[in-house]
Amino acid sequence: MSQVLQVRDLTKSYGKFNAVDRISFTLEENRIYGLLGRNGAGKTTVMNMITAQLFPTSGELKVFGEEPYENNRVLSRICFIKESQKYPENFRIEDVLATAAILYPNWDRGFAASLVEDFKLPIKRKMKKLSRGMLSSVGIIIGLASRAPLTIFDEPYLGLDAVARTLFYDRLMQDYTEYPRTIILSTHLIDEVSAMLEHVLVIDSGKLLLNEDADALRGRAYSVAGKTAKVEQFIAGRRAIHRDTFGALASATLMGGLDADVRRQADLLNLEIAPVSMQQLIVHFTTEKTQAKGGE
Amino acid sequence: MNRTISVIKMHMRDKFSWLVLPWLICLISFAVNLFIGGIVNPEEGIYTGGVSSLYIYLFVLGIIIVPQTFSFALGMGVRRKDYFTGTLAAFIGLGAGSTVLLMLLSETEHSWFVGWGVGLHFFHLPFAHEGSLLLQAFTHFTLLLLMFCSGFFIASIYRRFGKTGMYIFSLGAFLIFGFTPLLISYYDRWDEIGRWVEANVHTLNDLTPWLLILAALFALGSFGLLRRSTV
Repeated sequence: MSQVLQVRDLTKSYGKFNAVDRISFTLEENRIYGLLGRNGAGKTTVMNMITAQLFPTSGELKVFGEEPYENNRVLSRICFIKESQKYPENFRIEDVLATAAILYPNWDRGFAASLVEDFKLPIKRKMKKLSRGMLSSVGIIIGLASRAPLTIFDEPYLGLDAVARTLFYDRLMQDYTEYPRTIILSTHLIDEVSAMLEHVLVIDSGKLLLNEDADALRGRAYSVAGKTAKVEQFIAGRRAIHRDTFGALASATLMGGLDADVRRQADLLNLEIAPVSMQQLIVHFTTEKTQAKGGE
Repeated sequence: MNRTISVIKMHMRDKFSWLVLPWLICLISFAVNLFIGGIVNPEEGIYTGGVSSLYIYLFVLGIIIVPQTFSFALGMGVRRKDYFTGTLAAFIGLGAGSTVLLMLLSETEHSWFVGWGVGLHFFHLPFAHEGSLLLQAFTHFTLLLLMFCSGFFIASIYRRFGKTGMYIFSLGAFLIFGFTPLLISYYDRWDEIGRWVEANVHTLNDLTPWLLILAALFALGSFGLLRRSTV
């Protein structure tokens, strides 16, 4: 598989503060990546640098094997949808879509039109008169209908309700299956998207905390539930990252693979085994690091 | 080239700001002057500078176009260079079209429907409209270009350096415009300058090369600033 993006020691500093601190990773073609992390972790900064809208302080950045800055071969193949995108005040939705149609080589008019209907957008309305949710929908339509080989969604659904978000995920998956491309989803609604993600990158305080295949990540922990005493017995000697007790019952989240040994022992103790949500794991990883830092 | 044309097309989605508003402002000013001319109708005629509203609007257009479209264009994957050339090309088109219209109105006022029947001198003014038509057209096109490029330059400073840049630029402009006359007085050079103007500047056409150089400097400055601007 060919590499779409290569990032090496990428850094962005503002004075003494490193918003992005020596990040290195690569992205492969036609996969869906999750770029996760807390607000202010540096996700948007990384994506702005990938699209040459911000300049890196140091480090190396190659998109489709080339530098993105002032490079039409690269820029015309990236579509970057961000929550903070500004639109000209006099533009109506149809003007924005018409401009996108001119600028993205793979633009699909029919698809864009059907998405406008799906999201019930008033195409003649001016951008400055749109609600937050409608603005997000316009971004989503551009991101989907552009079919750019590298499509980046940065928190694309601010103000959208659960129905509209589900619509977005559905259309994304349908179109991705038909027209594979590399997609980066940056979000903090991890549980909603976790089923779509094939690979996960977690950024925290400007540093790359985790870079792992989604399945491997899910396999890194599991949870058990049952009578409190049995659960206590089970977790003795294991690494529990989370515990809950409700009366006589308890549940615990444990690090480690789910091998036959674990299953047998849980069976013996009458415990139920369940997978752990990606959100729980990522919350665990990001807070663990913060706590470690606090203890220094 | 392709993406430059895309930028022109993007600007042309906003026909109101680009095509309607400049002429709406100018024609409203004209209508008001025509009305006054009709009432007053003095023997020596009315000379007004109302057409300057068009030139001033184009300066304003240069200022507003950057905050309105730069971030949007970059967000849609446009190169900074294509944004610059496309925006400048769109303006050159607007400037050329406006010049043709201005010249038509000027000739109408001067030769065909003299003073619009009420002795109004709005589009054809002494000093500003002298010499061959072609020369007049070139002068006014240059002036329109200068107005736009200076606005574009100011907006580019803000885009590149933000508020701080704007303060420093304003302070610099204030010092230059404030102290130059003072220094000229101090060194007693007004007389000399007056003589030079009297000898060299008979019509606006004589200033055209300088206006053109200034416009080019502003355009180059904008390009340099936008090339290093972020969203």
